[in-house]
Amino acid sequence: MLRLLIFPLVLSACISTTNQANDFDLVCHYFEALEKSPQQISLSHKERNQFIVKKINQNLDPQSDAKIAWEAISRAVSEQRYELFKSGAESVLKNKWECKAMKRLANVTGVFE
Amino acid sequence: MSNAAKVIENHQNLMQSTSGTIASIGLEKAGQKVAGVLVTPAVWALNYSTKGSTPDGIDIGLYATGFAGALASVAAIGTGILKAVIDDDIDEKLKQVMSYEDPKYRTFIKPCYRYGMSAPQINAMTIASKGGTAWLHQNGLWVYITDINNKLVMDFKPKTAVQIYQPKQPLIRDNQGLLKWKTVR
Repeated sequence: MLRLLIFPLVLSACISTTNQANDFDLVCHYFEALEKSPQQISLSHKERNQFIVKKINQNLDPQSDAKIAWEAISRAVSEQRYELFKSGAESVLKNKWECKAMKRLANVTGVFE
Repeated sequence: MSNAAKVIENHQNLMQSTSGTIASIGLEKAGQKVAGVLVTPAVWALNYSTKGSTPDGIDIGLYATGFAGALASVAAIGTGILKAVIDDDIDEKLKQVMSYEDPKYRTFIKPCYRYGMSAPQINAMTIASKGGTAWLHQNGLWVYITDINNKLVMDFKPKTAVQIYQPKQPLIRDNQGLLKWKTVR
């Protein structure tokens, strides 16, 4: 009987973490785009954050872990934002994750200065 | 993705770090790595946790054979069983967390994974931005605390924690009512 139950595979759990991985990487790409933007130096923390949030809202699912993470982290103290996002990404992806552009800009991108 | 499947996915690390249960089944030969997610039939997890038995060759053969043809409805049963195993594991870890805290607060401590559909650490961040205290216990469980009215508590000081997320004092609120927060340690 137990062997018959072997067939109940946890197929739902097979759904890949790829989307989540893409979502964290996508947020990284938004920071890369922000860094390349000529006017980014003159923007305020909030304006940089609006740039990122606009792209997140356009492209990520409302339930995306990366989206939800940035919503919270953009309110965190500036000097901890990058490490928090990196840590959150790694907890979801179960892999090392980094984003050089975010590392450079996260402390000047957020809801609070 | 179903709620149960997301819970399983989000708690993969926790499951794999659980000594004596799922991590010890022998996943290196038993599990199937599929699209980045290690999947093990729930019945193996249950067998191991209740009887200490690992899957034999026939089981693994059946598993491999059945992998392609499993019915979704049956798989859902398996997912439900595995979620139950995870729930039990989280409840056990929650008891450990509670045992470290003052008895008067214990019943108000809850696991972050039940707060929302994100990974527990991300739920913990959301909790802090909404005015609560969330912390990572040394057993790997993210938890948070509410008052008797189920409201988040902003300034709780857990007696033991690897990391704490909570609002920064003095409180600064944005136009959505969310708070500036920080990692305490």
